[in-house]
Amino acid sequence: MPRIEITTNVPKAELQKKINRYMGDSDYISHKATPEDAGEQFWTLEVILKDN
Amino acid sequence: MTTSEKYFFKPGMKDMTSIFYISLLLVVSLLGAGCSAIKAYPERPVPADIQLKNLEWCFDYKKIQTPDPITLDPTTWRDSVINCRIYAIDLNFTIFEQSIARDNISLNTGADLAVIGLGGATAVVGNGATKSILGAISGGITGAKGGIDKDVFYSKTMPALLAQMEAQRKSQLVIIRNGQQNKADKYPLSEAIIDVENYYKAGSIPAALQGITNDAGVQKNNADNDIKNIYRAKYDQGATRPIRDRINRWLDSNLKENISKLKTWLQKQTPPIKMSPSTWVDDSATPQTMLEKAITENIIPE
Repeated sequence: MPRIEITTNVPKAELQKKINRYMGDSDYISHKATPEDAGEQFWTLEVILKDN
Repeated sequence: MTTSEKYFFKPGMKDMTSIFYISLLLVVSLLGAGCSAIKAYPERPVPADIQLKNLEWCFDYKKIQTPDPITLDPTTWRDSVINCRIYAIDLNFTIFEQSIARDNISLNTGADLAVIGLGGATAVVGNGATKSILGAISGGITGAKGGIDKDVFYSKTMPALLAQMEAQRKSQLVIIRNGQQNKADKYPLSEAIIDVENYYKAGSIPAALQGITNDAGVQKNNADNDIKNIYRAKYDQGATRPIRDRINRWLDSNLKENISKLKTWLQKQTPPIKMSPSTWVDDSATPQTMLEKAITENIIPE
């Protein structure tokens, strides 16, 4: 069964770098980013990874 | 006509007679509908009670201890006895199912037809007072039926319980049939009788309720396992940010290799950390001491 890791409060400036780090993980399957505020300054990042 | 006669209807003799005949007609139709309930099961060629009478021998403990002189073979005798018992239990179970279906159909058709009849009569009768009287009777029957449905829980709960009983009976029958694959010395009659008794119990309401409760427990455990596979983290923006950024810079310098290196290190900790390195580094729950330990042990540059 895959594992889900959810990180809240991710600053917009860090979001893409953080996604890239997950994508560099051999367990990475997919991700979804959702803005937490109207100005899209903070995001919730949900990543699905293989569970070893 | 007085003022009160003008505004309030007083039923005359003719109106009362009409109400009486309509009510009588509907009560007769209600009784008739209830008595001639729709049959859910066809008639048996031989009534079940006669068949059950012929199967009584296999419940006689003394008789079954002495194998039939014609068969003599203990395995064949065992199979004859338990098949007889299974058939008797099946017959009784069908009678049980029939009684549930019969009660449900009688209740629903009788009350529904009466409600339809009264509702229809209420609509066609022109007189206001007659309408309100018929409407009240119709409402009363609907209310009574609702109360019975709630108490007897035929409409929703019984089908689910019967389905559970059928499933449990099948599971128990598999145990018996598997046992029958063996000779009587390995699966003796005494053991088979216990399994057949469990087969009987599997077709009961308490066993069905227990089964449903157990299934719910299994589902809860599965849901708990799913929850265990979710890690929740909060991106830290406090005083430890520089240490975290230092590790992130190191990760970004050679993503594939360093992610793998940090992941291996995390799994070697006591207890092992299963969270991915990217989540672990930024999570506000990760203590500063652990971050510093990671920097030291992985020789992470400034």
